[in-house]
Amino acid sequence: MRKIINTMTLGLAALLLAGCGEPPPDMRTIELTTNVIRPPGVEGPVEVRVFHAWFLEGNLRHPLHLIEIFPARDGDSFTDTFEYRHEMGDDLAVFAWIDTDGDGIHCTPTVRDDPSGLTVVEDGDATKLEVTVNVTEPCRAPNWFYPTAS
Amino acid sequence: MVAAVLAAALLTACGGEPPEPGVLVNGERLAVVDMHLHTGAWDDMPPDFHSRLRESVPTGFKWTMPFMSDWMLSTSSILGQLDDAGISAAGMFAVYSPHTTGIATNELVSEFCATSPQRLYGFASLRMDQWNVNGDEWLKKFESDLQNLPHMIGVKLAHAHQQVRFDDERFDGMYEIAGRLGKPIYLHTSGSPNPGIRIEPPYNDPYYLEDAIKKYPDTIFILGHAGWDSLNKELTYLDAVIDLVMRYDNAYFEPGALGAERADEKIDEFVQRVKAGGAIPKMIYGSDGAQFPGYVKRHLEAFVAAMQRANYTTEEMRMVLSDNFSRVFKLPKFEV
Repeated sequence: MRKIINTMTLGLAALLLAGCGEPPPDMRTIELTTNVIRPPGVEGPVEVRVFHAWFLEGNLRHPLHLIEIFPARDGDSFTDTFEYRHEMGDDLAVFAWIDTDGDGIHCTPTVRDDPSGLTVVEDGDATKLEVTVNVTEPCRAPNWFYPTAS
Repeated sequence: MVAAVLAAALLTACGGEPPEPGVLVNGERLAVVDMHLHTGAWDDMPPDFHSRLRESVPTGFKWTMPFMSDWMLSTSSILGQLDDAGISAAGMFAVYSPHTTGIATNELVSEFCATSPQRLYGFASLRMDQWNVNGDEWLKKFESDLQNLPHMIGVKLAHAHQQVRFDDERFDGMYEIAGRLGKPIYLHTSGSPNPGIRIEPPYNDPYYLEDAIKKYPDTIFILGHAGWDSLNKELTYLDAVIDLVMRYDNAYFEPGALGAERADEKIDEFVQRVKAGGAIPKMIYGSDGAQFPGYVKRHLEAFVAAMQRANYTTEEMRMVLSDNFSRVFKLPKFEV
């Protein structure tokens, strides 16, 4: 009897201890199509990044929390599927930049040509979204575009 | 890990007299200042950083991490670590990094330093994540905090944590204010394993900061971590750091985390390259503690041992460990 009680006590303690981490997030899968509008004459592969437009609550709430980076590809339209913790944030921001010299770096201190742009889209209950990103500004980070001064 | 933490906690609480201050070098005790320590609270850290911290304890003990973290970042624990390592004084950093490690406000740091004002010096910071919306307000608060909050001697910025490119001129106002008020700026450089941190060159390579260093000659720029990429365990931007500090009078660097276990295979190369580059007069010691009990002491011992193996002279080590700090921050020299 004592052995059974000890085993049950240990088991209960283990369950309690194991359960004291943070619960796993509720994940959503979404298919995103990004259409890029380039400045005239600008060529090169396009890197797309997807962010929560806003993430967390309270004092830690912040814009532009990175979800996924899709490495630079040729073309002007890209369809990607990814999972994200949709309940932890609001809306999505899609950032794109064109790697005009193919070096994999969004501008260097001396070569300042790679243009970028960002579009925010409501995610709501969507499982498929399509956005258009106008890529216009050289060497700008996502937070140069968003949030905007009202 | 848990056993080590508990043992260290017991030793800190019940240990005897702290060791003699300073480090013994060639028969002489040298004073030490660790310019790079953190405080904060578990509740002000984001969930992904919580997860990273919990990885360091075994399943079944993860629930202890909030208490352990708050204890490790408390005044008594930090001062205990300084005593145990023989360190005379330390810089305490405010952070506003909601994307990565969380928030430790200027007010919190100022109050923290007030508990031991002869030993703890504050570094103020500011939020940068909604700059188009409230950048002007944050600049005003930043300036006011630097002028009015007690114990603030410098500035802490972490572009990679704060998701801000080094070459984004929207933030030039920070450098102007710091220069005008005579508050040196510590800037994080290079990668780290923290979740959410930006690892791309524009956020980490100090060459992207060169225009600002040139534009604000009255502002002191201290390149934190000296380009050490603790994620990939590489001295990725060390050459850039040495080049910049040797060309600009207002540029310095700090070797935070190079005395950590992760850097054991690189620390000798690091101190040798610094010496060969003539950059010892520009190096200000810091550790990036107190990450776990004993970290601050371990970092210092590893760093001093590496300098000795690289044949640093006593005077060179004195510069690194405290005199460069006193000179840059216009404080009296530290004695033991």
